[in-house]
Amino acid sequence: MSLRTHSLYEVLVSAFGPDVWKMIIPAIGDTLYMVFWAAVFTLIIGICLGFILTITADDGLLPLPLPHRVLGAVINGLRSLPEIIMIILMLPIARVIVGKSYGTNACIIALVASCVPMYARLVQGALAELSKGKIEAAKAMGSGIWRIIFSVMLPESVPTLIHSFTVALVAIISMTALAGSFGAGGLGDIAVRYGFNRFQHDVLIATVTALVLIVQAVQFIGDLLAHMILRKRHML
Amino acid sequence: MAFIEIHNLEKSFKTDNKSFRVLNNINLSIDKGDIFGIAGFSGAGKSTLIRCLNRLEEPDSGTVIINGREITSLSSSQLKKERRSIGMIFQAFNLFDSKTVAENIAYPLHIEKFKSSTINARVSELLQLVNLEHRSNAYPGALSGGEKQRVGIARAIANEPKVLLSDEATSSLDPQTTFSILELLQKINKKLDLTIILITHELSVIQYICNRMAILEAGKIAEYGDTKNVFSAPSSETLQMFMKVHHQFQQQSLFVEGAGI
Repeated sequence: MSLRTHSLYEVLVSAFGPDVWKMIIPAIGDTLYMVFWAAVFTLIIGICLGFILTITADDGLLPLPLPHRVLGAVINGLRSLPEIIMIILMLPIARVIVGKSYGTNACIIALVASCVPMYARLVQGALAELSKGKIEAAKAMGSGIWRIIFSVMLPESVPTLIHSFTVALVAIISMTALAGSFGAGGLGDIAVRYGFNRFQHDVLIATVTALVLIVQAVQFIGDLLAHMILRKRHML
Repeated sequence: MAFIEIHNLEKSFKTDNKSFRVLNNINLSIDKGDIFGIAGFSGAGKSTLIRCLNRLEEPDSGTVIINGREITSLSSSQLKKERRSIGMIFQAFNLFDSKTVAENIAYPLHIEKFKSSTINARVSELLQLVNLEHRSNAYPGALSGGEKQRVGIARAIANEPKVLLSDEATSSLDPQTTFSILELLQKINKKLDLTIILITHELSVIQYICNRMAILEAGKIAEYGDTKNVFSAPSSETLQMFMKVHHQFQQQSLFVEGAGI
């Protein structure tokens, strides 16, 4: 249903009607599938890289100037690529890893490649907020580097890590929509194919609504979790 | 040989092309059971000096010997082990916000890989020693400054160290709380035969608990000896200034009788 042939009211009614959502709901499933796996890999790899960046810095636990600079440069390089270019660059790599260069799984690789560098920098920022004193106290008690990482830095920074992960998750969701137009399916694919190419504005409105709701839910859950932890620790 | 010996300790900080000498030929010897106070103005190098003792700061040259072990020549893995017998407390407390009071105190015991039953027994013993049994499951965020420092002290002495380093431990506390923390330090000094080295900019702290003291002035030891002797004949500029200011405050107080409001 297009705004060129129907009134706004009719389009809105159709946008929230069962016919459109029969199409939207499976697309939401595809989107959430991509977001979920991209988020899992981003979280794990991003936290590892963020810790490596922090620890190998000049004032870190294990200063390694050369690896630190190389990793920083690679991350900056990846971050400067727009998602659309990252998807194209990742096509051959996806073919090697998942067997084909199109489809949902192939796009997850491009999403991870885009989001990991961003989340790694956010993790680095979260760790920079940790007071140096706590790490010094741990050192003064004779802690080794692994114990400082797992018993001090990680648990102490959990609330900030959750906050920044929420930011990364929202970015992943918006990138998913873009990846949709490269054969990954999901809400972005529906929005482009029906909403843009065929002027079905009701479908467009429905996809936008679904995306907004997902992002709101993610932000709400992230804020709630961080808030609960801070309240438990009496830090509010 | 004294329990703790510091010989010719030197430390400079380099910024851009300039080098700033923070510690200049420091020599001190501290006996077992001493409560040794180091006072000085801000920037005199007190903090750097105490942090050189467990090598949180690496000295440029000189030696630190604690209980016959030359700290300054230990490898990093030896240092890690040796640090477990040197407790330290801080002005900012530096407790772990993600751990409860009991978990904070248990932290150094976990490093030593004690059995959990041993750890629990030791933690409750320590909680009793610092009068915080009722706070064992609280998080540091819920504690007052004095309570936080008590946890800091319990955590620092959990592994039964021979030495306790106190880096301005009472400087952010009110006078009453400072007093109770000093009493606690005195108690553990006697009870555990623990040698305490503290740095402070409050002379009253030194007068109250230190049997021996040193005045640090621009990175050098300006005065050094028994607290009583040093205070009866202050020779360093720093100590004279400290005492003059102290007198001025007393004389110019608006609330002293006859001061005329």
